[in-house]
Amino acid sequence: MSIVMPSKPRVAIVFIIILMFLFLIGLAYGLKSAPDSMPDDVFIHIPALAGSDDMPPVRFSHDRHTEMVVGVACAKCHLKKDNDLVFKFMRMADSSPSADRDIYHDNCIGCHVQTAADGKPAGPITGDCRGCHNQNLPVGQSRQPVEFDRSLHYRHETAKNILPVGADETRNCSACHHSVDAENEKIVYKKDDEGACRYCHLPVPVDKQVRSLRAASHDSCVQCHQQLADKKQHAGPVTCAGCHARDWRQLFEVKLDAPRLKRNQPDQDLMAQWLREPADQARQPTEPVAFDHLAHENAIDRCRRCHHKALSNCRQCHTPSGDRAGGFVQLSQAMHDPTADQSCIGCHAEQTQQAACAGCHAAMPIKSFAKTDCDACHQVAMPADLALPLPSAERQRLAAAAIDARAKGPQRVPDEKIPETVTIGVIADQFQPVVLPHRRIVNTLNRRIEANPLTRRFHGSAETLCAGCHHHSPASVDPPACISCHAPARRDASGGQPGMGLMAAYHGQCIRCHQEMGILKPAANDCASCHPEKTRQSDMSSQSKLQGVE
Amino acid sequence: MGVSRRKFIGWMGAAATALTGQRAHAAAGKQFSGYPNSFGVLHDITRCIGCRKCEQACNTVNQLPAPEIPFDDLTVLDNPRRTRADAHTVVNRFVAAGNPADQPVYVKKQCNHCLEPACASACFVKAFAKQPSGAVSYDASLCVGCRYCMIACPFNIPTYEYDKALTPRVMKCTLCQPRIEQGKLPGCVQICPAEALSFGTRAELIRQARERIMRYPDRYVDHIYGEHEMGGASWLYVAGVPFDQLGMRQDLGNRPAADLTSGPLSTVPLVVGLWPILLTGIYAISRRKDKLADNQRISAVAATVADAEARLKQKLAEAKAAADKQQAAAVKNEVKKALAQAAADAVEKEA
Repeated sequence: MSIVMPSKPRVAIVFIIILMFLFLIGLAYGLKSAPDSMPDDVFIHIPALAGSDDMPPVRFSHDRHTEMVVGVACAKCHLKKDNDLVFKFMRMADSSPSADRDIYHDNCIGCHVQTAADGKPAGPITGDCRGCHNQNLPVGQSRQPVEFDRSLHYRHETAKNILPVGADETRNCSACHHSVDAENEKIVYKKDDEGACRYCHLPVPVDKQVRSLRAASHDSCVQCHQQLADKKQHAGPVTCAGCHARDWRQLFEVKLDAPRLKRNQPDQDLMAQWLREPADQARQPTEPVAFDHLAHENAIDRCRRCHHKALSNCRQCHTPSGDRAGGFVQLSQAMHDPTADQSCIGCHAEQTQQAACAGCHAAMPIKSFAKTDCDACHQVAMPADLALPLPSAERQRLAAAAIDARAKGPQRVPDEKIPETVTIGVIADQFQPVVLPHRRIVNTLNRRIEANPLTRRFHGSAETLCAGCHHHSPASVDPPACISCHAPARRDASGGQPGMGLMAAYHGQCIRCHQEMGILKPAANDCASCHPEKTRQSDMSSQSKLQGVE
Repeated sequence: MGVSRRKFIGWMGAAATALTGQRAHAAAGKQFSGYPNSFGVLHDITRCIGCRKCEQACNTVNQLPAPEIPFDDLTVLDNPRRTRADAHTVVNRFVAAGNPADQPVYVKKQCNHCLEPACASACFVKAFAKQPSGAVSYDASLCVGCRYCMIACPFNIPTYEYDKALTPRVMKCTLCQPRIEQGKLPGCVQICPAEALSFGTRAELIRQARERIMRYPDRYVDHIYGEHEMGGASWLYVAGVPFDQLGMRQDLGNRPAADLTSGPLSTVPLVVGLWPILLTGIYAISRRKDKLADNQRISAVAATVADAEARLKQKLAEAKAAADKQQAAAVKNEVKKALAQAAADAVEKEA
């Protein structure tokens, strides 16, 4: 015993020291954990040389380096070709991995040594391999994609200092937009052939001629910005964060009154394939759609939301019978596919998922195409003796007339026809009845409908809104009571009518709508916030009853 | 031990599969897919509002002790809970990946009433049984308290009354079997204010679950938890987020627990059946060996005896021949002697 006793505190001390060590190691790891990826991260990864170990890529903070070389400017790292910067580090183009590696090692380390000799803070030098090669490739990037919206486009289009060389017009289109002249293998500007950069410049380069979207936009945007900045003129961002960081982008001037991008598109058009076919073709039974192109332009910021591959008519690729150019997607599918992002029905269905709409729309089951209401769009009646094919001007005139004649949104149900409150007392034995501010809810939703052109267009009648809650019966200001379908008694799945019991129907309707619309208060399980508590005494008795469970 | 013909054929089947290396039920054609028209409950997790009324109803129905924290105190949801001896069901709160913390998902947890329960397959006194109603029942009068069921359950459901010194029981949800027999709904299903729980035949519930997923493809994950997990369960779940984010294991596979042990256990009858044959065979072989040895010994003795006799006979014959020869020679000799005597006598006489 006497030998064992003194060793116990020693064991404890050793144990505590080990624990402290572990804690310190943990702390060191915690502090060393890499910061989140930044918008200016450039990952330099040269493929491993044969027979050598593959070092991890270098995470290079571009903006930190540009800050350091202010005054010396881009030429410190980038060579010039015909007065244009080459966005490669100290070389005109990639060569072999070993040569590229040497370029990085010689120039990076050379500069770090020089900077340190000048007494300034400098980066790692020879021997400190892991000082640079310390990153694994990132999982996600904090770099935001550049959204070149209508306002930004307008500012570039009208900027006085961009004016392209040899341009004889006031607009700057030819400074950026170009087409390929295949015969002469030249890049030329062709009026009315402009489109989004990414139609040709894909995420990865297609071939040696067509650069990747990233290379193309850096070569064009950053180059131009830098040249303007060199001339001490008003210029766009040249740092990574300037375009790719969310908080920097919020500083951009926004022109709310930027006009639409006009490129020969019609304002309105009648859409039906048979209108364009000769008269001897059999006439299709479908009525044409009066399509308001202008309204869609105003509602959707980007042309490529619909014109996803080219800024041309849908029929150009999606032929009525489908062919290779359109990925064998037929014209009718391109308009109606409920799962496609670009189709009419697909996009409209997606709009119903926004919080403002989802309260009602999320409760509606998915509609098969067979149950789609064709008349909602195909509603322009055509005279039987129509001269076909209908000329484009005539189509546009008829479409404009049809759109003009459309109701400008549903009328409101007059207030006196909307019950002000609805009192629900199904479980009044446990709680006080709920008083639903019915008219307030209806009017709030009505205001939102009136503010949105899409809902104004498709919420056909004043009663359409009522059908959001009062479902399955024809839309009406006097719908059947909930209890006429939802029985008060709890039902099991194996018998009786389908559908919920009354209490669950009420809860499902109110709670799901609140959840879908992002109304988080009252919380779904905070019973008393909707059902005021009964007095203490009656509460006790109801607790013991527990509604049918005893 | 009376062995029925059916059992015997079963054993032969088991022996055959064990010998050919296949799984036992493959040969036996045994694939239990639940009692027809057995009941179950469908828990629609997208409807659950986390009010804990089901916990309260369960407590009332099963006459469990009142909890320390009342059922309307929702702060208990802050910590994940499991079933306890005094709580057959618990509701837990989860925040799915990518969802904001103020939009939680609530999941009710209780016995899933598996079609082929692991607890029952682990229980060696048959205290657990799958009832045709769908419930996995527990008979405390048979239980020996080994708690193998608690280890076997992949969902961590059975609990034990550790605080009872003399008559501890394993405790778990009964699917409200007594209430079902009276034509009532299980307590939790009856009380649920949002119908997040639906009671019905399992087949009907699966049909309903599929319909919900089909009608609202954006709302639900395309999976019915419990349809196939661990061979299927009477309690089914549909949810809007992947189940592994809701504390529900997705690594269980679709084979029932009993299936995992049926292979090794199927060799038991084989061993039991083969033992007498084996021993009898060994006995017969050793007997045969003895008999052979015996035969050999006897024939060897007989051969030896025969050989000795023959040799004796030969010796006798030789001796007899020699004696005869001697006698003949003696006679001849005597004759000769007599003739010579006679001749001498004659000569003497003549002389």
